[in-house]
Amino acid sequence: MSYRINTIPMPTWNHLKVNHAPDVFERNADRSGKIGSYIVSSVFEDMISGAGAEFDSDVKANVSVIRTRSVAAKSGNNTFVSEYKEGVIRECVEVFEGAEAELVQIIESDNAEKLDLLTQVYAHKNSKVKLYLLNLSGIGSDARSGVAIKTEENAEVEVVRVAIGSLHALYGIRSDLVGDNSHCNITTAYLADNDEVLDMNDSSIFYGKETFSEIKAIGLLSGRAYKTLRETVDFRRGCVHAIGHEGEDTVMLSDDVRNITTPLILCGEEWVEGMHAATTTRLDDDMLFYLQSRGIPIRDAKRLIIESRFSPVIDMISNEDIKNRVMKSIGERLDALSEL
Amino acid sequence: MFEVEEKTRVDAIDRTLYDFKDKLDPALIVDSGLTEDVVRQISKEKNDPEWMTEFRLKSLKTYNELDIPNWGPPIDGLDMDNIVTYVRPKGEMSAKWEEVPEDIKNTFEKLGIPQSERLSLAGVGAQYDSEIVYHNVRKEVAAQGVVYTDIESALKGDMADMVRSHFMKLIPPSEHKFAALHGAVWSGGSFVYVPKGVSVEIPLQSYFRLNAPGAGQFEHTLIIVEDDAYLHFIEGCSAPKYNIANLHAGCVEIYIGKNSRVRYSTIENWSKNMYNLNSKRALVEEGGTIEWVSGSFGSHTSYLYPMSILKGDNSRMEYTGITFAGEGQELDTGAKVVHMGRNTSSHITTKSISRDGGKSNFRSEVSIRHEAENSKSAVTCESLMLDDQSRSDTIPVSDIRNSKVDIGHEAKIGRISEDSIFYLMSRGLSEDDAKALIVGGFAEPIAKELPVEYAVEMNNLINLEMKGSIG
Repeated sequence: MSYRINTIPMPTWNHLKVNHAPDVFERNADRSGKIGSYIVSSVFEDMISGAGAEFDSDVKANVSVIRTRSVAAKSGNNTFVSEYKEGVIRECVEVFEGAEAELVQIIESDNAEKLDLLTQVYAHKNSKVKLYLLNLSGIGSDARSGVAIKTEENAEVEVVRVAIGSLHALYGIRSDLVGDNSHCNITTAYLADNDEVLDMNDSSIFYGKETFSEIKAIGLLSGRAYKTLRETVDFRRGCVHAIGHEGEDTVMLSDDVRNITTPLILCGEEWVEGMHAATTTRLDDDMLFYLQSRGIPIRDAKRLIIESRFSPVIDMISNEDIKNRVMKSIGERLDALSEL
Repeated sequence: MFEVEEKTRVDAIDRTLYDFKDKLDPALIVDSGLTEDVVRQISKEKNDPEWMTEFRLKSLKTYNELDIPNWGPPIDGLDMDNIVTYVRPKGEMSAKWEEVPEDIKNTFEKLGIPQSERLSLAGVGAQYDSEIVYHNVRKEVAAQGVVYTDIESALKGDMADMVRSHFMKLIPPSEHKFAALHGAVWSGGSFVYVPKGVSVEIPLQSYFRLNAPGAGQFEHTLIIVEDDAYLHFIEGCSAPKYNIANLHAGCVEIYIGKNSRVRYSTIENWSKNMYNLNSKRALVEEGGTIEWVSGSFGSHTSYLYPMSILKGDNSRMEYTGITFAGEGQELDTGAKVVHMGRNTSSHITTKSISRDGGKSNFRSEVSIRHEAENSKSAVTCESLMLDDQSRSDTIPVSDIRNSKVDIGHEAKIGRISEDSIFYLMSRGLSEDDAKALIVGGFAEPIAKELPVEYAVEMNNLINLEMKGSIG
C-alpha cells in the first residue's frame, strides 16, 4: 500500500503516530477477484470516506462485490442486512426524499481473512437512515471499513458501530452535512484485547446551517491492545448555528494497553458550538466493592459493569435477533478476556 | 431565517507601546544565511570554549539533515538565507543602567523594565538583539547563593561545569530543526541557579528585545533549581515591526529538584513579522512542580508548546495560557506533558480569541507512561471566534499506557451562551453589562495567574468594547 489511511485533517507531532493509521493495515496494491467495470449513481462519485480518498479509490479499483441500494419513499421493507467475511466490497445506498432505510452490515471474518469495505450513504431531503456496522469477527482477521455519508436538507443519519472483532480493525467514517438542519450521529462500542490493533477516524464536516452531529464512543481495552481514536468536528464557513459534540469514555484493564485519543475541533465559523469531552479511567473501585458486598464474585462484578457500559449502544440496535447476536459475541469476548 | 445580531467589538491589540524602532547601529553584524563560516564567526566572537564550538558545528550538521516540520502552520515566508543570526549591540554588559548605551537604555525605559526592577523584581536581565546588555540581581538574593547572570558568563565562570552538563540536554539539537538551529547560533539568555532550600520570594525577569530588521534572536535560558526551593521567573519579549521576516528560536531548559516549585511566566509581544519558533522544557523531580503561565499576543507565526517531563513521583505540572490571534497571525500554541513518575498530575487550561482573520491553534500532548500509576491529567481549552474570517482549531492528543489513571479532556468552541446572558439579566444586570461581564470573565482566569503589572497590561491589550452580543 503506497498511501496513507485514516489521516486526520490537521496533522500534529509525528512522534505521536496519530496522523494516520499504522503500517499493519497495508494491503497488496493489486488483489484477485475484482470485477470488471460497473456503474453507480453519480451522487456517490465525489463522496469521501473517513478512511480517505485513496482508500476509496483502492476499493473502487479492486472491488469484488458491489451492492447498490435505492430507497424511495413509501417503498416496502427498507431494511438491508449484509454479511461479509472477506474480499473488497463497495456498498452504495441512496435514500430518496422522505424515505427511511436501515442498513445492517455484519462482518464476521474467520482467521486470516481480509476484508475491505467501502460504504457510501447518500441521504436526500427529509430522509432517515440507520447504519449498523457490526464487526463480530474472529480475532485473527483483518478488516478495513470506510464509510462516506452525505446529507441533504433535514436528512438524519444514525450510525451505530460495534467494533469488537478482528486482529487488525480499521474504521473511518466521514459525514458531510451539506443540507441545512441535517443530522448525523456516530455511536461506537469498542473492545480490543491481546495484540489487537484498533484504528478509528471519524469526522463530521458541517456545511449546512443548523446542522448537528454527535460522535461518541464507549470502549474497553485489555491485554496489549493498541487503540487509536480520531474524532473531528469541522465547522466550515457558513454553517451557522451548527452544533458538533465529541465524546469518549474508555476503561483500561491493563497497563500494557496503548490508548491514543485525538479529538479535533476545527472551526472556521463563529456561530457554532463545538464541544469535546473524554475520560479514561479504570473500573470503578467503589462500584466493584459494592457489587462484591452484595455477594457477586469480582469477575462477575467486573463483567456486569462492562456489559452495562456497552448496553446503551447495543440497545440502539432495533432488530432483536441482531441485537442478541451482538450480545452473544460480546459475551464470548468477555469470557475470553485476558485481564478480567 | 437567522437573525443578524449586533456584535461585541473586540479591538485589536494596541502595539504602539512596542512598535518603535532604534536606528540600526550594531558593533558587529554577521552575514545573513546559515553557513559553517557564520557559525564559526559567532563562536569566535563569543569566545566560546572549544566544546561549545564543536557543539555548534554538530548542531549545524543536524540542522542541515532535518526537515521543516510538516504538521504546523506554514513558514514559507521564513528564508534562512535572509536571516542574520548574530547582531552584537554596542557596549558591554553592565549591572548599571547608566552604563548601558543611551539609545538602548531608552528602549528599555520605554518598555518599563528599569521601573519594574525597582518596584517588584529581584533581578533583571535585558537582551538587545543578540547580547545581554544589562544583568543585575539584588544583593540579598545573591547572598542566599542564588546565581542569576547571563549565560555566557556562566559558561566560562564557576558554573561552567554545571552549564556544560545541562546545556541542551533537555532539548537536544536533534529534537527538531529549529532546536538544531538554536544549537548552532544561540547567543544571549540567562542562567539561574537556586540552591537547596532557598525560596526566591520576588520574581526574576529577563526581557528580550529584537531591534534589527531581518535578524534572528536565539537566546538560551537555563534554570537549575535544587531541592526544596522556589523561583518565579518572568520572560518578556517584543520587537518593532518590519516588512521583512524576523526569527525568534530561543530555548528554555528548566531543571526542578525534589519538592521545589518553579513558575515560568511569559508575555510574548513579538511584532507581526516575527516567526516565533521557540522551545521550552522542564524536568521535574519527585514532589516538584512546574507552573507555566503564557500569554501569546504577537508574532506572525508561532510554534510554542512548553513541555514538562514529570519524572519524579508526585510531581505536578500546570499550564495556563491565553492566545490572541489577530489579522495576519497564525498562533500555534499549547503544551506537552509526559507523566513518568507515580501519582503525577497535570492540568492544562487555555483560552484563545481569534479575530480579523487570525488563526489560533491549540495543540497538546498528554503522555502517560507505563510506570505512571495513579496519575491524573485534565485538559481544558476554550475558544472564542469573533468573526467568520478567523479560525480556531484544537488538536489535542492523549497517549495512555497505564490503566490506573484518571484522564479528562474538555474543549469548547463557540459563542457566549445566551442562557448565561439571560441569567445575569434576571439578576438585574443590563444586557450590555451582562455581556461585558461574561466576555471579561473569559480571560480572567489567565489574568489572575500573571504578575500584576502584566495582568494590567493584558487587560489593556485586550480592550473589550461591549456593544450588543459577542459573536
